[in-house]
Amino acid sequence: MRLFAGRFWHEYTRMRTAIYMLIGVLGIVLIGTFVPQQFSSAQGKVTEFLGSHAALNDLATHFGLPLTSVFVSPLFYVLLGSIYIALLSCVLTRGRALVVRTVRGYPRSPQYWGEWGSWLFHTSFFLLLIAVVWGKATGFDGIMTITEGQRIAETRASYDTLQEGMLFDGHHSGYEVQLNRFAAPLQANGMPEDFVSNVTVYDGGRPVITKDVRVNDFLGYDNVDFYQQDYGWAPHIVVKNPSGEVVSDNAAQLISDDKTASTGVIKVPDFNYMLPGQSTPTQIGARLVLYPDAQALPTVGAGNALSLTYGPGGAAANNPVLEVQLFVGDLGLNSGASQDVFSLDTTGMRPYYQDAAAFALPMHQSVTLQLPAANNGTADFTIAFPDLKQFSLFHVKKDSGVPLVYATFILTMTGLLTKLYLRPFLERRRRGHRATLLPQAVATTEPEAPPLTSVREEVLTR
Amino acid sequence: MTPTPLSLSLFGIAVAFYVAALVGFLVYLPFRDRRIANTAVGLVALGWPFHLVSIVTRALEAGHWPLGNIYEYSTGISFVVATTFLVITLRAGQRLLGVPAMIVTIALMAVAYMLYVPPGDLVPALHSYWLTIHVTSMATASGLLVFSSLFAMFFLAREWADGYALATAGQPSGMRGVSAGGGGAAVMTGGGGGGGFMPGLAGAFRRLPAAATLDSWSFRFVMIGFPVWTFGVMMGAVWGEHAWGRYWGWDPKETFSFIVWVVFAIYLHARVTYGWKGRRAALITVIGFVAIFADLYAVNLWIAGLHSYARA
Ligand code: HEM
Repeated sequence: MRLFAGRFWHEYTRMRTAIYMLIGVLGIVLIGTFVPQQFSSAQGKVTEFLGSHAALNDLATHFGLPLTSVFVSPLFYVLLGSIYIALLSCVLTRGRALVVRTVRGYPRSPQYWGEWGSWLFHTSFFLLLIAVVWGKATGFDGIMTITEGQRIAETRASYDTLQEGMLFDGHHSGYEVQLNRFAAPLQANGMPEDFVSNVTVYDGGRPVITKDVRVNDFLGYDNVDFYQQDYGWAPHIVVKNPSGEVVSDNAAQLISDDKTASTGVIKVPDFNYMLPGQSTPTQIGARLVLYPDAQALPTVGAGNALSLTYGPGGAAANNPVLEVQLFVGDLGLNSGASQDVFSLDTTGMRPYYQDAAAFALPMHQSVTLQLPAANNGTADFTIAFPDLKQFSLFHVKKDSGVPLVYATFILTMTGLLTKLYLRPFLERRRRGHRATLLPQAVATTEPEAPPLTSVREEVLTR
Repeated sequence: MTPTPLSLSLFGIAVAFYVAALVGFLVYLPFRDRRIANTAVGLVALGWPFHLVSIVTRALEAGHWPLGNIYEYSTGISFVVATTFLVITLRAGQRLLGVPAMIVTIALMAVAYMLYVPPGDLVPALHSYWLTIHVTSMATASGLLVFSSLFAMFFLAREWADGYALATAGQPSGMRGVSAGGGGAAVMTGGGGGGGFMPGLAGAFRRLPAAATLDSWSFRFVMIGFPVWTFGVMMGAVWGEHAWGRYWGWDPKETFSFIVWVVFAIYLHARVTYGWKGRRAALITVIGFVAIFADLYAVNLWIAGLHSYARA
């Protein structure tokens, strides 16, 4: 039994086994490039793949390799783990041998330095592992949206989504970030030239930094980093109820893929108006479509009445028009179901217009609408669209492992270059080919000149 | 119709020289006249300055480091390949390398032309020094690693030809005596008299340098290319951290550069593992060759990811 274990360990820590394990990593990673992956590919593609290859995926999942998340699959981790264990054994034995050689004062041959290089290279993978795991475990990673003019605190509640590491102490920094202005200047071809968020950080109420955050230029303060990731339109909408009270005065954040048409919702739970014959105040809500550069299309409706419908144009705010599909009733906010800020649950609501038609509301305008009032009368309320803002979507994260990752990079490169270049360089110097400026010696970029003797040496010694 | 930019005209001139050089190298194969090969090398050397100036003018026209889209990137790699070929040939006289090196150069430039994008601004994610360092390293490493594969293919060809010569040495044919290591001359007499496709091919391949030499050239280019690739991947990670706040995300482009890296790491291990030298090692670099070009084109054109704006 001991013999078997010993043999197994010997086989397992051989470099040939390492090669097979690396080939295994290659195989898994290849699957990851060709199969759409959760979190890095579009969700639609993932769903489509799962739909058309369900049996295959079930089989693979059975073996610990769910095809749409191979990079976090059990099999991948097991393989990486076994590589690391083999690597650890290799690094420990070779490291001990090197230390012994050093202590006993054996000659410092080129081979000796090459082995130190190789040892450093392989050992740096452990530092990388520590850097990655420690950074992720003690940090967090989330998405935060801020509308122009809005100031948000860096606290758990401010995030749209947030993932905290297992060892994160739960203390967010609490400072506030205000988005002063956002701009996405467009190129002639309509593609964005840049995304720029002008933000101010307030710490303890005092402004401490004002900075333009853009792609490739993040905001870092108190170990938390804000990265410009996306942006969107946020129409400012003011709703007054029949008593003339302002019951909603907000910028609704709309989402879109190409910014020429964005969608979202507005919910007014505190509309504060009692429809005749009802015992609870009614609420209103609407689905919104925004065309920042609306193109008007005249259409002829019933009774030859000419009306305008709108469609998307460009991505700049040349002619912002909102299309509002209004609903009246119960927003369902008390049902306890989790509320999605981008969708409207209309099960307890009636469309304001019979056929659920939407009406257009150009910027700087307001519409006056009627609701039934007591004694068959009507009560007027208004929805206004005074101006259009933008919001910025930031990737916010804390990862203290990053400097260590970079340190690892330096060690890896040092080890690799020592192994691949210092050893041959020293060997050549030993052979007497001193590095001079003579043409045949300029070959520092071409180590190990090709004389057949060295080739034969290699053949014989390996 | 916008006028053709100067960079594209120069690009065309460079391609013309390279095509003429390729024809020269192909003619050199049967005729084996040194002067033909030297003329072909001269044609490459004439095309090279046009290639260089094409890249420089492109940078001036576009107003950024000329590795911002797939046209520029392909042109850049082809430039590394052409330059490396010239250096090898001028220093070590590997003329036979002209055929595959020019095929790769011209193919890259043809793809660049098919995916041509007029000079223009970059999308915001591409404004970064880290990115400049990253793409420059990746393009350089790709061009260098290509040579490790080309030498490995030569190695495989030469090894096969040696085996073929050995196997046929005992047979009563014109190939008798070829295995004595005398090289080309013996094969010429044998192959020329006996004819036949396989002996002819074996004869041609036996004019390559010795298998061990080719193997060591292949290794040498991994030695140069692998650290550059490693460095390039690391710089990509630094860029990713700067632009998006994550140094690694298994984005398809990142994943494929990791694959290439592991393939060549396997190669380095294979070389020091007893029994994996030579043929198996050579096959690994050929896989690396495929992976590099899959990384370049398949991932950009068919598999979307954060990097896929580089398609435009
Ligand atoms: C399973 C774990 C591994 C083992 C047991 C292992 C073992 C070895 C050994 C014994 C050497 C020869 C060192 C010398 O001659 O001084 C070596 C070299 C090397 N290893 Fe690893 N290795 C492992 C993982 C890796 C990984 C994951 C990589 C990177 C992808 C890697 C990259 C290299 C490189 C670049 C060399 C230098 C090749 C050369 O000596 O020419 N190794 N490895």
